[in-house]
Amino acid sequence: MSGKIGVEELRVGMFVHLDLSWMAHPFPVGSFRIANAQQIDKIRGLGLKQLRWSPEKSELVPPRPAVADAEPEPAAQTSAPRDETPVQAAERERRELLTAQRASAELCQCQFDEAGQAWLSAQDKVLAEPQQACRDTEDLTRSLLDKMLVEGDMCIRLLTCNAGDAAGSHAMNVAVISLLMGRVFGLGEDEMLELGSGALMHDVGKLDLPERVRQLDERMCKDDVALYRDHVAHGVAHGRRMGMRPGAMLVLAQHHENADGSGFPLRVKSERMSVASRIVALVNRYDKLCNSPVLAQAHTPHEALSMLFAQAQSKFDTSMLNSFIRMMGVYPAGSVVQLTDDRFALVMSVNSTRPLKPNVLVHDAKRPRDEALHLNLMSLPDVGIRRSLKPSQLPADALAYLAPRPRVAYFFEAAHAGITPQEEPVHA
Amino acid sequence: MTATAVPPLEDDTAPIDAWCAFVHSLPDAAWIVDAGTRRVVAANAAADRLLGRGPGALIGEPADALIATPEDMAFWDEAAQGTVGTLQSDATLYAIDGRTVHVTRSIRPLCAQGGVARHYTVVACDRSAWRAAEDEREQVVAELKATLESTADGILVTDLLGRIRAFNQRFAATWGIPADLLEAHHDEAVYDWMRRSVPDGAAYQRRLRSIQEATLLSASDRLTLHSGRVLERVTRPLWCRGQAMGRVYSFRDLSEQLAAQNRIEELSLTDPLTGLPNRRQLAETVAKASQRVKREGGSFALLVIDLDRFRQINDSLGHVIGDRVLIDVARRIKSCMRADDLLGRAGGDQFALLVDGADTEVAERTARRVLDAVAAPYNLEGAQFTLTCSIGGALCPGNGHTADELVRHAEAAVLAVKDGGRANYRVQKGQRGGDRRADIQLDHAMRQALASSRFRLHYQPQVELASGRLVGAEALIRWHDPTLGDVPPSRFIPVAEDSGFIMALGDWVLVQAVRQGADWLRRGLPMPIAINVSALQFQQPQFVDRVAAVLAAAGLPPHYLELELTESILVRDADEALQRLQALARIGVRLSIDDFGTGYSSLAYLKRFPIDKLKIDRSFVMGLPGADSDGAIVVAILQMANALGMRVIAEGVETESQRQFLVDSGCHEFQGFLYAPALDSHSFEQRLRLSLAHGAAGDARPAARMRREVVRLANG
Repeated sequence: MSGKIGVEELRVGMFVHLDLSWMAHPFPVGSFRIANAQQIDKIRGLGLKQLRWSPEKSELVPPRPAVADAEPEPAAQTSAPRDETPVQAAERERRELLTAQRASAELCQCQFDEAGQAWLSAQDKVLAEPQQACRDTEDLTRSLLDKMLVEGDMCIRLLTCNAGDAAGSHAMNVAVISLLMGRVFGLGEDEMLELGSGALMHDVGKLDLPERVRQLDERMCKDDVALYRDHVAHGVAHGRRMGMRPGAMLVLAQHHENADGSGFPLRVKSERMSVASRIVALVNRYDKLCNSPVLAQAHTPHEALSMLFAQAQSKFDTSMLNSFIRMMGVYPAGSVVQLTDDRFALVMSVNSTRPLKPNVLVHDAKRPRDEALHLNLMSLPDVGIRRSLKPSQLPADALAYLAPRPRVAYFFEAAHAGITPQEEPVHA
Repeated sequence: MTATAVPPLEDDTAPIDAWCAFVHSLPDAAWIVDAGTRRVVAANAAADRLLGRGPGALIGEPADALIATPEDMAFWDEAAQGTVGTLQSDATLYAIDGRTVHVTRSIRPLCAQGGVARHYTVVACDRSAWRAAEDEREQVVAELKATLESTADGILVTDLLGRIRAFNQRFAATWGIPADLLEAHHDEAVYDWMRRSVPDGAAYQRRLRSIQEATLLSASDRLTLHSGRVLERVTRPLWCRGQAMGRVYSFRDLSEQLAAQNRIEELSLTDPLTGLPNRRQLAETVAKASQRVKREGGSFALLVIDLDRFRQINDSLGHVIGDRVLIDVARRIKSCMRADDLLGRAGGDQFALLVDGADTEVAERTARRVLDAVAAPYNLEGAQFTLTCSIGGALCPGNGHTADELVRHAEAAVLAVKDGGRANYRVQKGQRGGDRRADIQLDHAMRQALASSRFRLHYQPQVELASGRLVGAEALIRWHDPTLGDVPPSRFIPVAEDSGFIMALGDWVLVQAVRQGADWLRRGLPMPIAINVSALQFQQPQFVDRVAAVLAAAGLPPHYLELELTESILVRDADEALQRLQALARIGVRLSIDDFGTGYSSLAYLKRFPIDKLKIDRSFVMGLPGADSDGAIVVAILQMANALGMRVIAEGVETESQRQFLVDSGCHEFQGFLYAPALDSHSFEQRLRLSLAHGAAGDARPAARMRREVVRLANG
């Protein structure tokens, strides 16, 4: 149930819907309850004359605006029917949670797609209109940053549909995770902008490479590896033409350097790398391990993390690696795991405060996948994750149910916007 | 679940020494960590060994350094913040001596219930051997799975009770079993589906039961499904540890193979015993020849040759000898024929001979030669005997135009001969046929035309159906004569063939077409050109050398030249033709069969010959898509060609619906007015350039276009 309301009539407590694309407004979600006067100012700043609102979801302090007089009594719509049995109540709650779960998944996917489109359009302009490409990239970064300006934890969420373009998907993954890292490290506004636009464009130099050397492959000959490595230099040249900010330029230049000086092209060490470069170098490596262009060489997110941790500790700033693991979770979203009660599950999202206790989708033959609520392991002290598996190690029925994607794509959402910790009955 | 030997502990007051003693008594690697410092305070000898340390070296080590995984790091972080939890998971540890050890590690707090954890025990159970076995098992399973899916047969594996253990996708596809039925693991439903897929479910069930009951039985049988599919079911027992554990079924789909065989038999127009055209093919050939006579003039004779008292041979010497006699007779009659004559087997002991271009005199001369050849003594398996025949002949156009009329006349003549005492011939008298004088004039005019360069080659585009790309050209001869006007090839080619002038003409075509191809190639327009080769030309001993020389002189790579041969070339002297074709194929020239479907190609020949392409005769294309039989023949030709790995082109395509039918049937190429008539070389060239330009823009999908643009910009 929704009606229209003029922007001048907005009040704190109104539940409004911004029917704009996600990039066109600064709020994390398009439908929300107005919390304060600043938000009203922001909405008025969008240039809308009127917008939709849902009186029944609103919590207005009197006096109520005249427009709402004709609306039915607010609370009556969603409150529970009185004659509901406990079983019915539980089922209704489950349904509501499920609806919310799907809606937040759709929203996340939708935002990721929109951002991916924006990236593609910026990338298309790099050669012909370099400066415009830079402005577009920074605009995209700003809109991502706007969404992160919320209090509290951010949740990293696995997208269930794949973005079509591998290069775009990689750039988006690196940018999103890098920005979240930047947030953890408390970078300032300008630093975040430089980090984000640098991350989005870190591989821009690959435009100058023939297709066959765009991805490093261990079977490549020496000359091809050299060609591949040239993408950093090409990228710096593009960045200069685009007029990118100095901090973003450093990201382009240093995203293949390692903390111990074993990277390329300049073999600089950690202390000569910017924080943004160190972040992007780490995230880039992680995403390459998860989303290898050669599917057979791809690792599960948990494997990728373990490899970074065990084998490449020298290559990355240790405190940064630790923060990264805390943020991504020990079992990052997209990992296939077996719980200590032997059930199989797919990690859907991770809350950075409890890296060992993610939200998972549990294989449950009794409930269709679309109907399954995600299980928050935080709420179950006795259930943990026993091991992570490759999808191919799953029994056929669990594989069909969990349907892990060959490539993972991440986006973020405010932790409170996700599913509240609510668990399904455990059939253990 | 892994073993942890730490007992539930009620009392945290026990001295740590007691716990150390306990840890030392454990068989698995174990150590105790101080919750405050997160450093090791005690470790047993097994732990030293597992981690490759000397005795006592572990004391004081930080807990998250011994097993360095993200899980352990996160666990000890949480522990430092006061969260009391347990961690039990598989982990990989890197011993100090470089070994990689797979363990199951469990960390438990040592504390009173609800109390503060002052210490944790860590127990690490070496799982390397188990892990290695698991890896090996996974690899074997993966190999088997890949093997299972890579076979073309449907595979079903059951246990002794018939419960389904495994199957491949091909099995589901062969039986048309819905995916959800298989995924539901509802064996009964799957079996039910299979039973309902065959017409006689009860018999099927009985057979299946007897197979299942006979544990050690290996069997093979054929099943026909409602859908018309024919499956070969092979089943054998599955052995494990010396005893039968179950059963493997494989289902091979024979449908296509059988359908192709049937079509082939339908299409096959030859008599299996003698390899000669059968009655049906004969009738068609006679009909065609009489139409040609009606259209273009000329004449031919039909001789029906009936063996006298052949039944006696069969009765006295047996069918085997009888068959050999028939083969011998066929060989003898063939020796009396000229190149363009056709011999067929009309029935048991009856042959029919079409004598091309014959008048009464030629027909009678041929009949006499056949009488003599058949009458020569036979010596088979030691039996010596003689055989005679009675021959009746009819002339076209003298005795009529339809095949029916001619056969009737010829058979009447045979009866007359039999009545007259056998071993003789009789040709029905009719009016003189053919206009020999006109032919002679035409022949003369042709020779003049060649000398004064009045022949031209036109090129009809050949188009790939799937892509619409122009992929070839058929060179067609054109003749404009100052006095005769435009003379159609259907008028002068038969005359040229008759007089032998076709050899000179064919050679001219060869040279011209090759030069044109080379010219186009030099100017960046690579275009294969097909030319028609007449039987006479093909049979020239130097033909292969001539082709090679012409190609070399023009500098055209051989694969740009395609020779279109008629089926008759392949049949007339198969072995010789085979050698010649192989020689041409060795040069690299492409070979195709013209007017395919109208001749009487034996499949055995087709298979042996190095033919690249079949050209479906325009008479079949004309009826598409309305005429069922034409459609069926086209589809059958396509199936057969696919089976033999040949490409197929359809000629005479004039309507969009014909083209669509060909696309749908999987035909590879076509030519015809629908795309373009034969064009002079200049027009053809323009068309080709247009097609190249158009084709480049034709397949531009958005994604591809975008990528191309990026690349182009990057390079530019």
